[in-house]
Amino acid sequence: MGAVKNLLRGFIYTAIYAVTTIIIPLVTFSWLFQMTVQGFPLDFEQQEYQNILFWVTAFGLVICGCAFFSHSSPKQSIRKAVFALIQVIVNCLYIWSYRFSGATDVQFTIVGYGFFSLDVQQMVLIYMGIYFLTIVIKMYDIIDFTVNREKIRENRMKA
Amino acid sequence: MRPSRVFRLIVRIFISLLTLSVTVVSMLGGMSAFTILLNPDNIGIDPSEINMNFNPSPLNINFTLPFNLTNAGYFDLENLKLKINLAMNYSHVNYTVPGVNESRVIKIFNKSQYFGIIPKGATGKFNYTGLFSDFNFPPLFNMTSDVDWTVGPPAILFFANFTVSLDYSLGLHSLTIGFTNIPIGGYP
Repeated sequence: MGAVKNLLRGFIYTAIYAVTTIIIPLVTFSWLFQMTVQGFPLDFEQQEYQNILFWVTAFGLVICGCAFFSHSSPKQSIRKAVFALIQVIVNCLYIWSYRFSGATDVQFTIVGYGFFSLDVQQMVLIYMGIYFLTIVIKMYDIIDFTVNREKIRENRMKA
Repeated sequence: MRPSRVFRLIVRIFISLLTLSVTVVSMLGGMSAFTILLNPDNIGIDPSEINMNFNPSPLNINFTLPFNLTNAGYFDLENLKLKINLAMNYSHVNYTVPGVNESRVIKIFNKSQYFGIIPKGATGKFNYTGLFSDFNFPPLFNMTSDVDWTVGPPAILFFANFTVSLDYSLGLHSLTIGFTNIPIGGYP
């Protein structure tokens, strides 16, 4: 019964990560690229748009895979901690992909009038800082689960 | 609960609060930027309101541009900057082959002016000033003799690029809006 419950939890978290790391960004970017500013349509370089979509989807899928393995593993297991650490590292790459794909400093051309650009590189750097703290906590988990393995097993048996 | 788990829980709560606050600030900042952009009344820069002053002659050119900007977002708007590039298009007198003039575009002005902070919900009213000393005419350019004053009027056409840039939510978002090649008048 526990295994089925773990699997179910894994699928639920995969779905949550699919929505937050793939669907919401793709919908947001699609909305941005179809937007009109004060009645003027926007023009955008197609190649840059394809780049952003590719990297967001690619890293998003890897995050979903890691989320499944991490959340379907038994609580306080070394496997869970290792997959959680991998997931956070991939999350860092995902956030960083916004920067190198050009999504953090997109320039839109307002056809026949001018341009506008939104630069969010500072925000990405702050998120990288938060992810660093998360990596530290995940490494702490691995050490904790390894050192206290016997105690965790005993508690699991009692439950 | 093991003490190591309690310590982890405290750190985890701290990181979660940090993530949540950054996410909320980011979302509101992004929404603010688009709120400003999508309402035409928020950015009140009208190139036709530029006051070119050629007194006593075009050699003493200067101008002012009144503009206003409404901060319709959720945070104070910082580092508001307006940059104006001016170019002039004129018929250049050809001394080698008289009568065969060519149309030339030269950049004569490039200046940024900072206007500071606009609190949330407020409308800032500013005056951009371009003094004669801010103009940079190309070397060897002589307005009196190089411009064919028989063309037109106007003999000189002025075009401008306007670039407004601003920071939002403690610099997490930087927004730049540019209007390019806007005709702003001529002389005489």
